[in-house]
Amino acid sequence: MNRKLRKTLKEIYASEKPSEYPDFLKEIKKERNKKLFRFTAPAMALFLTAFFGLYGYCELLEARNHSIEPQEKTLSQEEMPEHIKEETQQKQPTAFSPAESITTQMETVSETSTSKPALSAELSTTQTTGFTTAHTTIRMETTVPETAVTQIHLPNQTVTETIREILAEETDTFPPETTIPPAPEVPAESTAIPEAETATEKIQESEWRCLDLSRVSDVEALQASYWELRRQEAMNWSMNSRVYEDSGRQADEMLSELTTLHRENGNPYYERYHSILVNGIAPDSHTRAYTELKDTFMNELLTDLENTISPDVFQAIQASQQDFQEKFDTFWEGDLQLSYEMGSLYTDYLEMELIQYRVLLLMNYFY
Amino acid sequence: MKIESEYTRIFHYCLYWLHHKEDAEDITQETFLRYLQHPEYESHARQYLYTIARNLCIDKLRKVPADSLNEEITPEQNLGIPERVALKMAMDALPDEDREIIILRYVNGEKISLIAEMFGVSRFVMSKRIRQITQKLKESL
Repeated sequence: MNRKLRKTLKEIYASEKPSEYPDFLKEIKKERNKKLFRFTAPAMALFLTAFFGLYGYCELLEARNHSIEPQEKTLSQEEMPEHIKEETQQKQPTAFSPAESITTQMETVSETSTSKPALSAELSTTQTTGFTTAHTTIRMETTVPETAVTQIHLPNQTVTETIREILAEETDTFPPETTIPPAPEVPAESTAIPEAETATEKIQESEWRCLDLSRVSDVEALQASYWELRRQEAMNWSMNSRVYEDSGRQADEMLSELTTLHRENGNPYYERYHSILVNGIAPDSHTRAYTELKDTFMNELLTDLENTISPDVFQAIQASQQDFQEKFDTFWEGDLQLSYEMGSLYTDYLEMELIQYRVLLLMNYFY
Repeated sequence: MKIESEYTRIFHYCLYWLHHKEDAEDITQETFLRYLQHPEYESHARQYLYTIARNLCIDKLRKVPADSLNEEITPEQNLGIPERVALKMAMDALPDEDREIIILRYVNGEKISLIAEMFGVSRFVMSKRIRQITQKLKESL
């Protein structure tokens, strides 16, 4: 319908407005805002906590990587001043007290450095917080003359080992609510542990059904391919169109292959899926089969998935389903001439074929 | 969508059914009050509102004898412009359901999926039906 006709229709049927809006509408608005806030506030709080926590953690790691080795490794016992000897023997540098070790070392360096005034002036700023110290230390290095810099040795360990040390030790640098559990033991033959993984997560992973994000990506790719084929089929709807025939045939093959796969591999949900189709195959019961697949069966599959796989993988699956639904809705909500030309039976089957494939892909996760 | 905008849409829908502004306002208010009593339908709010409004309008029309309907608004008299008159006549010539679909789609701007759910058909069937109705309207104008 063209714009002029729509405008005229609105002038006829939508020219009047209500005299007033009742007060209880505010109550409805409040309820909706409350629900929105209930969802967004915790999400925002979590995001901010994670962001600042990660930021502080990265700062600490950076400071740790630039920390100086204890002077016993660089200066001989004869060269070391007495008071330093005593101090370094008493104060063992810990992973979370870089301030002390660095300060101690810088004091020693300052004894031998030619630019003593610059260093000593900055030393007073090192005893504030761990993070401030990290920054100060790094800046100090850039002002120290070369001769002094060469005497400063960075710890001889990798970042991963550093993280493990940090995780293994107790600290009060972090706020109490963000204590990190000790890292699990790594067998020699395994690859390096991903930095973000904790012991808690590893335990939980062993309880989830084996399903990872790469599997979700594979399924998403299949869904996208199938959708594109059906879209091409619909856009080129015409019995004489080569694109229509080829796209439709390829999409039919994908659907058939996946159905056969589930049947031959004894997918636990195949019987139910098959019975819905069989019962809904007659033209007058098509809507029933479609509705049951889309609203009932798909929701059951998603609920079962939610209860048996890890939350992050489930969220990825949900996101890909939502994305697909939005594309589909946008496609059919538009001013699509072909929907007028298509026969209703064809369009019903097309929609059915789309929902079938989505359901079959979800069933794929249950192996 | 703002709640006031939703309220206005339901009001237009009721006005289409009842052709009486005060009755339409009463029914709209009643619709939203009933909606408040069932917060469990929040996820399908729009559809639920239309369903309640429709049922209330039908009940209202059944209670009032046809000849005693007081049409406050007579669009033909107020239209003036020939295009509007022609379109109104073309709309009146449509079956009730078709006319309702056009009101929902092009006056209230509702999604095809919502209208399809209200009428219990697939969205493709509804999309095709809307096309057919608009074609019919164009031919009769």
